[in-house]
Amino acid sequence: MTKKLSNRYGKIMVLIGVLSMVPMLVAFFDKSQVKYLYSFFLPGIISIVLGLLISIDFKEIEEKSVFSTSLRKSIKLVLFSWFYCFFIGALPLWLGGQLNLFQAFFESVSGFTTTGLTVLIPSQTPVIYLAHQIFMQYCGGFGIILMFIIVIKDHSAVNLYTTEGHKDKLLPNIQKTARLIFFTYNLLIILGTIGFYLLGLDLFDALCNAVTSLFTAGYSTKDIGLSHYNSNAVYVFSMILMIIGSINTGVLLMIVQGKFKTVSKITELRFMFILIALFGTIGAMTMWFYTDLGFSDSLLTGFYNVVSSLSTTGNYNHDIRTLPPLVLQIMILCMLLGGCTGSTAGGLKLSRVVILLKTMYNSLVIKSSSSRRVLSISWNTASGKKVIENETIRETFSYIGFYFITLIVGANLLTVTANCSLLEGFFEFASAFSSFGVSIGITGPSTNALTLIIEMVAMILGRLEIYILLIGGSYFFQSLAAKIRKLSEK
Amino acid sequence: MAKRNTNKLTIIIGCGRLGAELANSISDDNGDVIIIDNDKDSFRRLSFSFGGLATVGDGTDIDLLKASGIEKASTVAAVTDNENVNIMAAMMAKNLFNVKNVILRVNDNSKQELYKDSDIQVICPSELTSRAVKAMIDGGR
Repeated sequence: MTKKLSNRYGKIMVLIGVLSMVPMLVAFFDKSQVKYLYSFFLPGIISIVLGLLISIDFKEIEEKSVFSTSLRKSIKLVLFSWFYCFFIGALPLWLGGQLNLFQAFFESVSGFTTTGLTVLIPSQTPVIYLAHQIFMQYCGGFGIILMFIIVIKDHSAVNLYTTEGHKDKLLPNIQKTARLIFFTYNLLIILGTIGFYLLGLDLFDALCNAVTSLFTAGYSTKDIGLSHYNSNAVYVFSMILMIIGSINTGVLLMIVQGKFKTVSKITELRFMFILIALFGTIGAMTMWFYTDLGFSDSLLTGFYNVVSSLSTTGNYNHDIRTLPPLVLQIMILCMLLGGCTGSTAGGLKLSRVVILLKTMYNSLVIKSSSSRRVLSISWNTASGKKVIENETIRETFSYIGFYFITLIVGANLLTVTANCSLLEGFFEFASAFSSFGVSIGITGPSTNALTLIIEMVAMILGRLEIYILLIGGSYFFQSLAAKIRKLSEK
Repeated sequence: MAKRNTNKLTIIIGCGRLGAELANSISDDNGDVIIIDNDKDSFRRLSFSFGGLATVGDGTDIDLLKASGIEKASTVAAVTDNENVNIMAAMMAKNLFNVKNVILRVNDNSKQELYKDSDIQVICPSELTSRAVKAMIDGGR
């Protein structure tokens, strides 16, 4: 039995079209922005009409799900929707005359991957485009597919959901899970906004900072980021939001429900706080010894930069270029490690690091004991103590391998294209790759195209996790090769 | 109404061929479903697009059932390959947790009689099959 379904590609295009028009709301509050409205309206409306036409005209045939074909289809759809997003998100900036098309595309990729590298100068940019930047990070933080699932009931929702990299199933129904995540983060954003507002930021800035801190995104409405406010209370509050943002959504809900005992046993979470304490202390000490900051300021700066980079947010309260090299290296390490799995942070994700360290320790123990000894590796998760299976370990190790190969190649390429030192290259590439998004001075309005391309690739690889792009790429070349073969036979 | 239907939670105990098939079809209809089995490998029978939760554990474990939210469940289906586990789970669901709709699978026709007067709905595959085959035989005549 086959049933005709309306085209999912079309539906996604309609959704993205609607979303891209949301920043137009700013014009209600600020009449001076009305002259920029066309640059949002045009791409939005074209995308909606095109999407409607496609979803009506090209029906998809429903099939029984076979693993290989449905995986292939999900990957195609996920990749399509992200790249389509990048494209649509770039158009307003280009049409509005803020950037050229290429820079606009870079900005859009940086926004949707929640990285926060920017070639715009906030103080010289109209408010509506700042709102656009922040809204891109908002959509990208949830993931465009998650937004799709919330609105539209779809047979293959689970395939798409897992393909986009979400691992949690919180409720016995996928659409409800998506809605719960959506609701939780929106509530947190409202609380964050109120908090920042009470600390003396104006409402728009409070909202923007709440979004970027929670989604560990890192765009700012000010040229020098949060240091503009120069207030310790603001730093501490944004630190709390960043830590919340780098905690797994499921665990966050458990905390809200008051299950502190279970939560306090979770290995990944414990590991995160140990890392923050350890690196924070080292950072603070280094700042105290090598700069002329006072003790309390060094403490704050050290911890702030560590939390900001571990959660891959990219807020900073001190000029990055003047930080001592040791602090920079700690920051590079932190951003590569990233936050917890299933959070909004980027990087390797701490669960992988925990598995890596535990396996390393175990192989040491086994080497030094009787050959008959058998050890299994276990850890505490939200659902109790679990043995880590060999399959998981293998997957983790190969992922880490891919991750570091990409990092080394990318950082070295950057030193060539941007003509910078190896430390700067590593910092900048890791910053893009882990969706951290603070530039050490390489990325800016005058950066050359090659550098921007490398950083764009890094950001996309980092957000969508490497595998899906590799698999998607191999499908693409397979179908391309098949087409060429067909042509040559003729 | 289809919409109200999606708010009902179904707990399936046993991820065999029947349990998995059931779970897949409920999930495809966008319903809430939790499936429990003590063998992790049995979850491979679930389709790739299964949207519910799959829990590893004993279907007669009170703590596990509570954690799965059996108190809020509208239906519990006990469909493992072990008859006695099914009976145990079904009776627990009915008597301890007062679940409205409890479905029990037994293979032994004679056990069906035992639950005739209780609130538990009993289903016996061999009886159903024999009825269907009988109808085919009668039709072919």
